[in-house]
Amino acid sequence: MSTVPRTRTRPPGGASTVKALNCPNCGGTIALRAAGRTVSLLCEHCGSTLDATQPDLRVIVEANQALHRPLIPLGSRGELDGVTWEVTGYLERTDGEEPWSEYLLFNPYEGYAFLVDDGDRFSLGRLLDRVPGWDNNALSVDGRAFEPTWPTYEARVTFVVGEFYWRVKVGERVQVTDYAAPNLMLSAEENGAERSWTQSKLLDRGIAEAAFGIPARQASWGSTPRADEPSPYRRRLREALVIAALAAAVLLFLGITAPSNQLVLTRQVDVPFDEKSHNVVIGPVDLPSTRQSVHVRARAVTLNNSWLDLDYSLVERRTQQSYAGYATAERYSGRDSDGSWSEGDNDPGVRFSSIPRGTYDLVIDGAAHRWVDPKAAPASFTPIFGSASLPAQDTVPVTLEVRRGGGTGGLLFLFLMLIAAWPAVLWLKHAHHEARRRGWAQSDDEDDDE
Amino acid sequence: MSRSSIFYALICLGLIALYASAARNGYSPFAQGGARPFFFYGSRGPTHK
Repeated sequence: MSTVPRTRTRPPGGASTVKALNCPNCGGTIALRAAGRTVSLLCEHCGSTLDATQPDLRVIVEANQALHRPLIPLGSRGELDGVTWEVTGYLERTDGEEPWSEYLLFNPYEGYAFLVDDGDRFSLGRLLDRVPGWDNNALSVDGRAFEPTWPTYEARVTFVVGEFYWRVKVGERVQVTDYAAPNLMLSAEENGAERSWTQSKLLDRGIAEAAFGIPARQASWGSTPRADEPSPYRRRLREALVIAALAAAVLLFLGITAPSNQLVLTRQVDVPFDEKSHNVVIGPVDLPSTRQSVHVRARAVTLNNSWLDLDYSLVERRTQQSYAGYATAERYSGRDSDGSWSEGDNDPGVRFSSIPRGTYDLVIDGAAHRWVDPKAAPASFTPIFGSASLPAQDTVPVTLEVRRGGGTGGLLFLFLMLIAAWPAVLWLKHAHHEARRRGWAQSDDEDDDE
Repeated sequence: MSRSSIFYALICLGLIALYASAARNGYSPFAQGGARPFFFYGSRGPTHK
């Protein structure tokens, strides 16, 4: 399928006037709107092809098919791109699968243009007066790069009425190769004798309909986009990226300038093994801000093949308001056929969120446990090589560190992700549109392979 | 600027205000505060195979 006008040579220059003439075949009155430029005139009453270069309008081909009226009547005037155009001719074409129609537009100062209607969208085509350039392996016109679309196809005229500056007739065939850029289509038309280039611009929906007073067409959602159809998400994506960049910059500034955490208290406590729970109270923990986060870190560097359950309660001295938290410090090591191994975090931290101002005590319930390797040798076994296990500890020394404030990194990351969500959605939609738009060429290639 | 972009800009302003408020109040969605669940008690050990 194609949406671009087909081959015609560049029209001659010169003045033009409107003349009223009679069809020599049917006698009907016909208007010669571009006198002096028109070569071929199709009677809108009987469909006969007349030679407009002859004063007596000699009949070239008599009508041999039923006439039908184009959607935009001949002689209609409309303004497109700031130019008032008059419809002088109408033809229908097909590539064997999809039909489309073209209106020949005329303006005494601008010359000719083509209004191409694929049944869904209109585009306005102008003949190029120069050959497109070749930059970076792509055709280019005025700096715009055009990428190939589908393979070259044959376009055939199936109906024609009105006046034209070339001798058009039903059955006329040309070979067409299309190239696309967002909003633009570049078409090369060859008929054996010559090649012409046409650049057509996709018109926004409703523009051509409003210009020529025909009913507006509704967009058909979900249909495959045309090869020259620009992504409707491109502009919104660009705007969203600018907004997201500004918002991210503000967030980063707030994150960088936020006060860092401050050490409030450090204590070392010993947690005995094999005791159900060992209770320790440390304090005071002074929290001067209205609300702040509190981070408690327990460092048990001597822990080995054992674990430590730590339950915290941050208790406000005056109100006895309590905030609970917990952590587990553990460390295990050993040796197997692959060598030495170790695992476990003996330096766990816990963060309390949004703790109100006050003086607090940190109540710690600690319980230390030994891990017994079920595959280990019995206690009476003494290895021949290497040292025996270290003497068992009675207690685990734990260094507790309490800090207030800080900890906004995760929050900052979360908000940056939230801000990036909408641009990401738009980018996915844009990429999907572009993939489907470019899919024209891919699907045609696949058809050829089959 | 499209209507959706204006709406998105307003949402961004809201998110910035929310972040500033959360950071000021020391709020963190990743805070681990709370009592230890009962199933967190019990025997532990390495996951090493």
